Amino acid sequence: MNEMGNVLETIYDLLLHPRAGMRAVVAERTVPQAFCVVGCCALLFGLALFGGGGVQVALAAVFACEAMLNWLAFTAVWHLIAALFGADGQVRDLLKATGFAHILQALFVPALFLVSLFLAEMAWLGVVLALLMLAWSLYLLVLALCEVYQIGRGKALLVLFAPLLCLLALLFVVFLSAGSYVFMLLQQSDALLKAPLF
Amino acid sequence: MHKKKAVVALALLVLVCLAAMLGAGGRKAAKVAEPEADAVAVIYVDGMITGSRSGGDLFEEGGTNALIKRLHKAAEDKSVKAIVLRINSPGGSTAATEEVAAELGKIRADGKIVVTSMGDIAASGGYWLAASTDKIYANATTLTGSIGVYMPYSNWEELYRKIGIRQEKIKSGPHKDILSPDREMTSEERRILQGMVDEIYESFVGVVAEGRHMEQDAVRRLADGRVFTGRQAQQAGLVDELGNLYDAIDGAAELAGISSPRIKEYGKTNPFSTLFSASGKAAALREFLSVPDGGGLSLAPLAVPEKWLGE
Repeated sequence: MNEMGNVLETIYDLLLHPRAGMRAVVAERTVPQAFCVVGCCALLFGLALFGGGGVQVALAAVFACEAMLNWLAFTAVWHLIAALFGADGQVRDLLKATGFAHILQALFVPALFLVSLFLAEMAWLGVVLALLMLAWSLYLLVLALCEVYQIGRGKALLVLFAPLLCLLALLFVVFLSAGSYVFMLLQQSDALLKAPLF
Repeated sequence: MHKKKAVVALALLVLVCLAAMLGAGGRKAAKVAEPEADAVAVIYVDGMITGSRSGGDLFEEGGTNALIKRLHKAAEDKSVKAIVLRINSPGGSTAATEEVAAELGKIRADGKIVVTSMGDIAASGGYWLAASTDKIYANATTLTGSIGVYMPYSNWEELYRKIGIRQEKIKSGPHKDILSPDREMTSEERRILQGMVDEIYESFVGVVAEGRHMEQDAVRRLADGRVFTGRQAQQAGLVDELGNLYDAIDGAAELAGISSPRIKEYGKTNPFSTLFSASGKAAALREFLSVPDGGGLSLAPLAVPEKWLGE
């Protein structure tokens, strides 16, 4: 019970004093607690996103599972990239920090409720709230990386966006290759027109 | 202690919001889906009317295949009560045009209204399609008409002789290399091809006469291949009204008996299609105008004004 109270206090700090909160998460919280936070928050968000009903609840459960897998995968990738950049830290600590950063997903439920109430009149509200939540999530993730690896915010941002940058570079290469292939085919179509007549 | 209370209060707020959303979602799901409002579909016929799937891009096939698919979709859509065919075409292959016209006939037979709105050009094959619809709108300066058929043929025999090319052929029958550019056409071949052209011309005249409720002789007097402006075509009875796309949409809605219709466009372009379609269209036109040995123009009878082929 006391431990539960401590978790609630950490969540409060994370929301209102993010830096101190993140420090407390890394120092005091455990990976199973982070696991519960990710699962519960993703489930709540999934339910709010998909709505009630049998199929929707199943979808929300799938969404929660996917969120947990994403959490594990992205944490692993960020840890690898941080290590490549020469940063020193424990992957266990990063799991705790990025896991507790998911608490914002639960806060997005009242935001979704607001959007559902006013969507017809104020479609921009949803966009503004989504951007706000995204910025806040990124800020918490940057703090998590700073706290775990004791690196600056610039380097933390670089670690955070490195997977995205790699993906964009890969897409660019694929796009160029596909484009060249298509134009090559178009050129070849002239040659194909020289086929025998029937 | 106040920290715990604040987080518990926040958690309660989240749960209350979630419960409210789930409740509202359930009520919404319980409601019977309202039927879509009546719509007028707009389908575009742009450029040369060619068969096959050429002229498309990475995301969508081109040619009459794509056009017929869109017509099918609009025909199957219960909310679509009328179709406006926005034609901006100088014509194309007669077979491809006939294929689309047949589809239009089926849609009209099923009770849906089909109205034409002519853009810059709706000539020859483009007019064939227009004549297969219930009502035709054109702009005053639209180029239309060109009712007729021709089969292009080039004789390069003299040129071949000058540059020392003599083409030898082993053929299965005397007419297998009909329209070959390396020799003069025989009178027998001319008779065969003229017969084909005449037959297609008669079909064209028949389509116009039936679609425009005119006598075949009256159509023949106009069907010498000449082009008309929209205004001239209206005076000649080839066009019903002068007006733009939106006049045609209003006209179609009126014929279908619907007020303030929803407009539903089929075959909308997206930025990726635009990016990938330019080379595809060029290839399609090249394919349409070329024969496989690269020796001249298509063997398919053309329903397109001859002067536009030179461009």
